[in-house]
Amino acid sequence: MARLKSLVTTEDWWTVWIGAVLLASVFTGIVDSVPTLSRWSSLSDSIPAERILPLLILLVSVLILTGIAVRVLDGNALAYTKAFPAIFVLGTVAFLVGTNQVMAAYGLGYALWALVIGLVVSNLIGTPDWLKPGMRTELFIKTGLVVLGAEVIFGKMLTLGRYGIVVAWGVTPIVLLAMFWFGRRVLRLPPSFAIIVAAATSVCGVSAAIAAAGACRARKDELTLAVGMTLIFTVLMMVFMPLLAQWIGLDPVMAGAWIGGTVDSTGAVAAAGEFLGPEALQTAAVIKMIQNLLIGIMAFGVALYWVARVEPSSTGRPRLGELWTRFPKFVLGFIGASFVVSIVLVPLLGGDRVDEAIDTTSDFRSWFFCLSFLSIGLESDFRALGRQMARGRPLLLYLVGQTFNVLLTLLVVWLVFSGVLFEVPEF
Amino acid sequence: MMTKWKRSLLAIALFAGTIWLGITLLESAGRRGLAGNVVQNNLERQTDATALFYTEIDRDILRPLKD
Repeated sequence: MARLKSLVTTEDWWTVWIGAVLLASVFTGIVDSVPTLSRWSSLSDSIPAERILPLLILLVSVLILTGIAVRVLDGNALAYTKAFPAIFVLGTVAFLVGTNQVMAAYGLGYALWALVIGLVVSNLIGTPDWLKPGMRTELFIKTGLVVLGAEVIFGKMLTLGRYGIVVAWGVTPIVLLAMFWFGRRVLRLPPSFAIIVAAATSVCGVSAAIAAAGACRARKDELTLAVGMTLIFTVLMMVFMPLLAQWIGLDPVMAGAWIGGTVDSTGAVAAAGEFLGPEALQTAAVIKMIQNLLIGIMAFGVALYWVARVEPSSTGRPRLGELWTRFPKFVLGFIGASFVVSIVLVPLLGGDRVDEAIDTTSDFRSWFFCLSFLSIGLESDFRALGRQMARGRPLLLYLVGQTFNVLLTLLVVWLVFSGVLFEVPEF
Repeated sequence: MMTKWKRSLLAIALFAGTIWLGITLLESAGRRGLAGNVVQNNLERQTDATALFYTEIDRDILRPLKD
């Protein structure tokens, strides 16, 4: 009975239900678009007048959905209703800055600006008390992750060829485990921080960092620091990796594979690949996509490892029932969404219809990620971040891990694409 | 001692000013190649480098590598 009750009394389960409602609304055709902001270069084009009403409808819809959860969870729906519009407006400002053409060219998107705006408000003005009930970081982040699950389609893995799978799946788990070990054993960093940085570096940057943080219930300042470092180094790697590939003399396919396997975020991978030509762009994007698909396996593995090995159990080795109780249920929502889309909806609706729907669900996911980053920023303070950076160990973890990632990926790319293991691929 | 309202207005003005100045300087530096060739290329082709997941980029790029 208590277990059944937990389906409506725990935030984790609510994120699964909200995610399911959002996905169902899109895949059944009830919702066919989610308002976003387009790229702009002059302020007058930044928010077209025709977007304002859809944005307001989105605000109200998300408020109702999440407000029901807040009402059931802690009964504070009125305070949440007063605060949420302000959170949403600040999130819109983050999108506005991130969609500026210059910011987009540098790879400085909404995730960074949501964090920055939150940090500016909390550290320069002070987060007002009335805004705090709207900062539902966990609710936003986990709902975004459940919706993200629909974007992880198993069938795509099988159609991408052995080249990409060897590069992406051969290197990623090794780098993840090596960085976690180095962070824990050598640098003595908290396990949750070590795994977030390792996931961001080895899998796919910010989205992997969020998934790992949710799976191991990391502190918010740990996620802020990991995401901040990842975003800054992604821009640097986007600029320098193509130059390094040219300097080494890699052909476009090998250079693309190297970039796809090492640069953290997909947008930066595509931009760096595009600079080196169409073959490099295609190879880089495919390798990155295969890495992206590992996010669910990584989140599930981290969640299981945490409840079984890292979090202390009162009775020593935890029993299966205790494992189930402590397991973060949103991970099941993530994997469930992925299974339903891959196994039921792709055969039922066809790949093109599913791709169209995912264009819409990914916009929902972006809004929830934006709201969560904003809330994280609003809850973080510079002093805590400064303490986290103590003796530069977090930076050292990133630098050592990324260097290892770059060298190992280069070796595997050479083995796979030089003709040593397989025939050289055609385009 | 500044009131909270004044401090808020000052923070908003500072943030907006910094963003405006940042965009202006980054664009100028980027177009002249001071931020590297990739950023220069992105500005010329209006490439968006902000995607967090593969579903946010052009699907035509994601053709399988032929075995």
